[in-house]
Amino acid sequence: MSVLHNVDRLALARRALTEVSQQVGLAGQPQGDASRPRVIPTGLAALDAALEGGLPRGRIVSLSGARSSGRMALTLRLLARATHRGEPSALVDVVDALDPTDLHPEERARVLWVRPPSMLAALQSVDLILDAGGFAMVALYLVGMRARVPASAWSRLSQRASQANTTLLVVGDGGVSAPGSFAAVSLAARRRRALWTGRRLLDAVQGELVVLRRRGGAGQGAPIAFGG
Amino acid sequence: MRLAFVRVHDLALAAYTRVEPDLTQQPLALLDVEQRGGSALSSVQRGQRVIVCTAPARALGVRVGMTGHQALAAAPEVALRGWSVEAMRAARAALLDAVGSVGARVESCDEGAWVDAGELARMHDSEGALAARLAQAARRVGLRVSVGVASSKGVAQMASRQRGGVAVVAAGEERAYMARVPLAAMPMGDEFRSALAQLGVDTVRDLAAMPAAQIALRYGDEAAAAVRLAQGIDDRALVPEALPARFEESVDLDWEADDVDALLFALRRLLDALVTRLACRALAVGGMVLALPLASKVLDERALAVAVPTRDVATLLRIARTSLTSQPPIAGVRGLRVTALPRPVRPVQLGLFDPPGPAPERLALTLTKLTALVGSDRVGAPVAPDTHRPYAVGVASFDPPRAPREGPPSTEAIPLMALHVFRPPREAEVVIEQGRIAYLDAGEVRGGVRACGGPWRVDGQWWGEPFDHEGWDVELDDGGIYLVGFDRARGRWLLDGVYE
Repeated sequence: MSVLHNVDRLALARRALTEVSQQVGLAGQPQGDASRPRVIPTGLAALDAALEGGLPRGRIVSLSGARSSGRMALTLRLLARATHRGEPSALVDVVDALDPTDLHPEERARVLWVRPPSMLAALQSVDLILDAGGFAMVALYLVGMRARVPASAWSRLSQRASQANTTLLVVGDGGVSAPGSFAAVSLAARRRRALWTGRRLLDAVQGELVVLRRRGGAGQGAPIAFGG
Repeated sequence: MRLAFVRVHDLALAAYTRVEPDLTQQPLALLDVEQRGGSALSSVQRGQRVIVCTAPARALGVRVGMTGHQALAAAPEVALRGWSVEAMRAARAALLDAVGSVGARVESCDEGAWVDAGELARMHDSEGALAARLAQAARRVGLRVSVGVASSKGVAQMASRQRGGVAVVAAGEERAYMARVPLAAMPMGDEFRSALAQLGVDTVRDLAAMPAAQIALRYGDEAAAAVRLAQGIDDRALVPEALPARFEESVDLDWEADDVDALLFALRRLLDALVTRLACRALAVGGMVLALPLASKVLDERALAVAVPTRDVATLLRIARTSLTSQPPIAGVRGLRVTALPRPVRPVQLGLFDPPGPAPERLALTLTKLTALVGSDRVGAPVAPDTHRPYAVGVASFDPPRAPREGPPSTEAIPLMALHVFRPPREAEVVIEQGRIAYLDAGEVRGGVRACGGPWRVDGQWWGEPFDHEGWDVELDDGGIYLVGFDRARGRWLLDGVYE
């Protein structure tokens, strides 16, 4: 009788563990590796489906696009999503472009904002943050920067990101500063249109996101709309 | 009342060996002179005598009472030093920290410290066990001590003179214990001592038989106190004092150190000593002030921030290295003094399902390195200041909450738009037609305006640095959407940012 009673309690405990795991985003992780989640869900259902759950952790993800394609909005959104489980994130903002009011007050406390004065200091900052460990995502915002980043830097940062199980999101114009083949996922943001109310009030900027390349997965997929 | 007295052996020497333990293996003798700066005396004056020496110095023939020149003649390789007020003060503070970790009611004196053992003994198997515990706590901070336990201050102090051990004088047996003490060991003035010799009193037992009241009238209170102590009586009460609030360690260097690694080597010993003292008090280093006396007679003083209180010496050394590397001392360093800002250790309760965030010590170190790399005003959690001034920013110290955000992840869409701010804003020229912007030229950004919204006007802070600003949302023919500003105070157009 007591053995059956214990079996029931074990089953209940397992079920409770499964439910809690689902709540905190560990569902679907391989057993024995629950403390190292593999993806960060983006909140865009179509993108998560295309990336098999979200942005891969421990990898470099590249996001490029033209002006007004929504790169800052996407960056802030992804940083906010990454902090949801309680891990902090970091924004290494080389061009000092963040308007803090674009982040929810609760998210501001969880995002480390670093404004390095040069590309070299930016790469060193990312290296330091990845070395600290425990960050879910580090976004390196290079929009407007034309300085070339050497391949050796991407190689080192890729290794650091893998060790820290941190997603390194590199946001730029897609030129010489892009991580290229070091990125496990390459995303391209495109501008669709601006929505105006009565030709006076700018309501929203609509864009679309394309998965240009994904290591070990399918190639270019269908555009995914975001914004207004 | 039961009291324990913790006596430090050769305090002047222990003050040095506590932070430089390898000195005990070197021939070193201390002379009866105060030393200021430098780890060795530059010259020996006539009449300066050895007050204490290490075992290797004794093995070479150096003895207490020798003059400095006699010591050098006996052993030319012996190093001579004076006693250091700062080092002895730090050693006394360390002793109080150590015994204070065992008992709360303590009082210090030149030779050591008394501890109220009355209630404490109940927490241990015996008074001997308590005394052993006090000796162990003192050893932890690098001090070799002996402990005496008795019913009065004076008897406990005399009992502690038994070298290298623990002596417990049971209640009521003080007089019998004191009778075994040599008269030469009794504290008294030279006049009374010579008077006793003339009277033929040569044991403490004989001294105890003398009438204390008449002795007080004839030889003074000090002599009467010696008689009462011989009888096992000491009326002085314990006067508890507050434990030291200042945590400071220092060392002087013989050479001019201009190498960061050499400085860090010396600093490590100081930090080891400081951290051990703080651990006795359940405290951690919440900040440091590093003072470096330079060869150019200038004091290089630098405050080192520690984001999270820690007792990890490696972390503290890295913080010091970051400071010394980014701003090296302008001249050779002749000494180090570290003052720690004591802070309670921050308790971190990790949840069963919480994600593994950055370890507090590593995060603190990373923030310190980032600050050294990019500047203190460019690292932290972003803050929107309480002002209407356009695009104002600030940073707060980064201390992220560890708990997950409440509720399951929402599935809301990407924000409608976010602003990529140009800091500083770029100069622009516009063409206005019918009260609206028709053309924008800001260098790389130029073109006809497809749609325009605004103006959105803000002004304020007339009492300080006033601003009067108009903002326009502008969509150019190429599809780029920009925020154009007009500084009304200066009458100029600016490109404030781009919607991204």
